[in-house]
Amino acid sequence: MMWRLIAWFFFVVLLSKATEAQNNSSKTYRNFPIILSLQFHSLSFPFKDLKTNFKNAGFGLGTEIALGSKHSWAQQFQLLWYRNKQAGNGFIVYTQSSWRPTIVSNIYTELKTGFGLTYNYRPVASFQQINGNWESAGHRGKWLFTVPVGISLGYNKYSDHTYMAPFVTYQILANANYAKSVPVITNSLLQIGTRIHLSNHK
Amino acid sequence: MKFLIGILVFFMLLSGCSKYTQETNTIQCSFSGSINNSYSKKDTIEKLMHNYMQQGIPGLVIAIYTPSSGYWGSAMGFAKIETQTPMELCHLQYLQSISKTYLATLILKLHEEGKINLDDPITKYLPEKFIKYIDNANTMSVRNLLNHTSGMPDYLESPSYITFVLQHPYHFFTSDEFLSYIENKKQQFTPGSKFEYSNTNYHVLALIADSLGGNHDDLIRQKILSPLGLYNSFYRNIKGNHNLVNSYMDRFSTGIVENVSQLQQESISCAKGDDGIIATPFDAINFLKSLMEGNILSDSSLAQMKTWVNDEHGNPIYGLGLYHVMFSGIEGYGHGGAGAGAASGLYYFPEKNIYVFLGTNIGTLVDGPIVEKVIELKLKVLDLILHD
Repeated sequence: MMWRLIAWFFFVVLLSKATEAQNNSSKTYRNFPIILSLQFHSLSFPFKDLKTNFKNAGFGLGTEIALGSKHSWAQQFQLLWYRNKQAGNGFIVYTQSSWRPTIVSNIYTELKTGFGLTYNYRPVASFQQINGNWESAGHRGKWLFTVPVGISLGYNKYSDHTYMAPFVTYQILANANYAKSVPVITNSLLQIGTRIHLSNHK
Repeated sequence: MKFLIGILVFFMLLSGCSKYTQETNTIQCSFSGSINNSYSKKDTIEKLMHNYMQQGIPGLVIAIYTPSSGYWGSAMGFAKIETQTPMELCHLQYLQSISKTYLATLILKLHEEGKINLDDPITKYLPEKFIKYIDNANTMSVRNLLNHTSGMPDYLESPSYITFVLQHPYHFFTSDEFLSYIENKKQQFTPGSKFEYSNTNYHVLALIADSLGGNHDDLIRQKILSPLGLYNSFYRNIKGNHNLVNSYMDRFSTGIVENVSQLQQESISCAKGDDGIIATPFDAINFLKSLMEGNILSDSSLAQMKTWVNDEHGNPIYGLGLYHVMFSGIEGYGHGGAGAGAASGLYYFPEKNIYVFLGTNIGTLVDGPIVEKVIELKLKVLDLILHD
């Protein structure tokens, strides 16, 4: 499954490079769109347990700024919250550099990576011994250094007015320092969302 | 925009307020057996236990038998923190991998009955539908599985297994699912050339026992637990047993524990051969005592169990379901056990003729400051017990 997905992605990217067409993005692309997304979180190994990627919903808010004039590179900033009853809720703040080649017409692919922080709550109430007594520590969690790597498929319908650019993304998050004997643990996110480019016209 | 950020912050705050719980019922009980309260090392051991209980260990039990002093044991801390239920000697402890000693004993019983030859390839006994998961299965003998020299990969070492268990704490794994974690993985070495501990070895042994006798669960009860009168020992059918301790895990290695009792119970219920026994401390001791005194197996079978393979330094390490250990320079036989929410150790020291059981309801599979204290305490207690 994993190799099929990776092969699919690179096939699409190669296709995009072969057929990259002129577009009017440079005329209409605007920095700092609002990125809204619905998240499905899973504590899972990459491309495993994909069924869980349709559970554990959350949502995210972000923006981006183009790197260069062609807008095929962008730097994104995201704040996500997810609910995961069994593995613990959490929120993630991260930035990613995104390479976004166009395939055909307004359809584009995206490959992105960056870094950030995840705060992973415990799924159940916890306890800590202080001076010999057990005291509640609630759902207190832990900050984990996060490296998110994602692939996306999206649609850009450029316009001088406010326009939406919907996308679907699969992200793998490598979270460091989960536990002493688990130095790195992987999570995954299925994200469905849209970039909302607000109109220039006041 | 402020509204959207406000909603996000609201949900982030809500994240810490879930009512999801993993607690199970653990009742208060009182130990009705007789123990020797004048055991000479009682006070020093209990003082040591007390000191360590102040350092974040939820609950702890220690039990000892020597022919001269008889039975002695002590329990401290909580069997369940949430209800402040004190840990007692009557509570059932998770034996975790000590279960391998029970399964090895069963396999040797079947060998004595002429139902299995230890040096036959496992493909002679293992159903075809399971053989397909194992690389070079025809090169592995039953003995290779018993003493961890088969080269079969350990499903527990698979990162995707660990993440799946954490994401699905109530999932009941089938044998096909367990073995799928080693499917497409190469045999790690030529059988017999090396010792490498693998839980999969014992899972496959349980499947072999199933193919020989119908159901290895029943065989363990019929051939080991019942004849020895181990009525406070249970194999796999553990749910709903209210004498069973709650289990805790230091998920992030920060010295904070959370209740993982349902995850623990589910993982023990679906384990086969490599785990699955719960017992009171004295039942565990009585099992090992019966085994060592020749009340379960013949002398010849017991000698095979104590035929050690060596580690990479040339030191004896493992027999058939038994570890060869050295604590404080004293030789011992037995097994340790580590799980998500519990840990234990069961050893016999022939030179001193002492049997020792140690059990705790904090998991030691995830390392951390509390687990380090448990290991430290174990070594100090054994040192105290073994030296005058």
